[in-house]
Amino acid sequence: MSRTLITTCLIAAVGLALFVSAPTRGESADPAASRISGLYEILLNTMQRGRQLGLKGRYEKLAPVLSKTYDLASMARMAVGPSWNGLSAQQQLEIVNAFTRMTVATYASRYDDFSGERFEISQTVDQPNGDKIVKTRIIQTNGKTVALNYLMRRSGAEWKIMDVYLDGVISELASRRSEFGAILKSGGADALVNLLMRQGDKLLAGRS
Amino acid sequence: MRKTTLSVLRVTAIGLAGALEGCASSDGSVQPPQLLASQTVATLENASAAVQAPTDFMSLSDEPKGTRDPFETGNRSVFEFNQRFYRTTIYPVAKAYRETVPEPVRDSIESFASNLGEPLVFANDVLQLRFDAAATTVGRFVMNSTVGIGGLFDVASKQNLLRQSGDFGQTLHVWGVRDSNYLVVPIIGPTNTRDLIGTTVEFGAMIPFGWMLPTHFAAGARGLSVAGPTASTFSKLDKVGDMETLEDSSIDFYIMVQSVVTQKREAELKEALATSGWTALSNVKTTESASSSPFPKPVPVAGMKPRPTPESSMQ
Repeated sequence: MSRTLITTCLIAAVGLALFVSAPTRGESADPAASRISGLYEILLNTMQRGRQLGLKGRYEKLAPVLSKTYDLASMARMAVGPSWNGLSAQQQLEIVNAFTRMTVATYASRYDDFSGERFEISQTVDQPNGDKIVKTRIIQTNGKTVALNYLMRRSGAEWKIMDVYLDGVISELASRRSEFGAILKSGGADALVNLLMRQGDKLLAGRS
Repeated sequence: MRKTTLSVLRVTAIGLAGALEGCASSDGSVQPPQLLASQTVATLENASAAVQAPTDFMSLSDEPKGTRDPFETGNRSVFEFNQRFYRTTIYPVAKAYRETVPEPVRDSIESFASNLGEPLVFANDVLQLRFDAAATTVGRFVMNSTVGIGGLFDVASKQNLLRQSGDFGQTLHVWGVRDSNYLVVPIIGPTNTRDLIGTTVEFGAMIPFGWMLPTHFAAGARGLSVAGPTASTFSKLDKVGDMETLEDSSIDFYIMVQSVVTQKREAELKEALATSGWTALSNVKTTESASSSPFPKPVPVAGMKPRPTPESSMQ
């Protein structure tokens, strides 16, 4: 790879990060924050071309970035809880796959249109155990904002999302854990997989 | 006599509009999955630093600490009923309201209704010995009523006097009613036994103040759109995004809503407890117990085992 090409790529990456987020105090340099920037950039892009792409197109566009940015396997494992160890490898795989599919389908279903939203990364807070919380806001055209915080954990060389906090306090993982817990108790792992698959189906069959 | 009826009607309309505003969704702009509520990037955002991160799934207890729901069967039926009711009645009206009434007008109506509720917030903040919050509330009320022209404009927020929490259910929590059972009330929506008592007490307390009719109706509207503020999240759910989409991304919608409203409410309660003078007073009395640390305990997220508390300042 030529030096010019590398330099160009670096400049482009930095430029993109600056364009997407409004970093303060050099947050764009933070690796966890950059991951979120990258995610938001692709989401924005998907929203802008939402109608063009259609549901299937959006799903295909979002699947790779979501799988890379979210640690969906760990989230699924955490949502199931300690009974995870009692499940067969096959069941575990099915749960992770079904959960991944449903998550991507949810995003594909929602990010279908662009109405002038802006994503802003406001802060990255280091946690004592080495995790990071990346605080972001979605700013709508009417000025109203919604806070979304991402709990990021290092997974090998990369930072991945372990949990999302709406309003800073509503944890997605906690909600999922409550949901999964109720279903596992009444119907076991197979019931969980079925429900996850069915929900995914419903989303993917929805309006384009 | 006729004049009174007219003004009552007017105030009722305002109160209802205020409640509807809580239900009205925005222009349906795209939101992330399970995106729920709150237009206020408020003090609760700071609580995120205290939210527990799941460290390892092995350390999580088998039974999610979660919500106490002994009335689950009944609650689920009421929940289903409410969903049908909202879909057929409330959402279409809220949608029409959103589409016909311009946004600045809707904002003003909401500010007006909210301003009328500030005296109740103040009273509860005082009862909780949260004097900073009480002072801020007074400042808000004065500023919004004068500069904000009778509460139509929330100018106080721009001066960094943000809306404070303060309802009787929260007061009861600060006073010691910690655990409560989840309850889904017809039409009003999710709440819990303690908060329902709180709302009822507030409503009842306003009855003697018949001359403060506007505040009375504000309390009523608050009760409708707040109902142990768990429901405020619920009604605001449609404010920003699609209830339908939340439902689509849930495998058990009843549990999803329960988890969401409970988490939000817990955060509000913890914040009140942390900043309450009662907590500080009880810390002065006790000497060594770690549980009496003046530092706010990390907010236990439903299902997560709380971390050991940080070092107490009392060594």
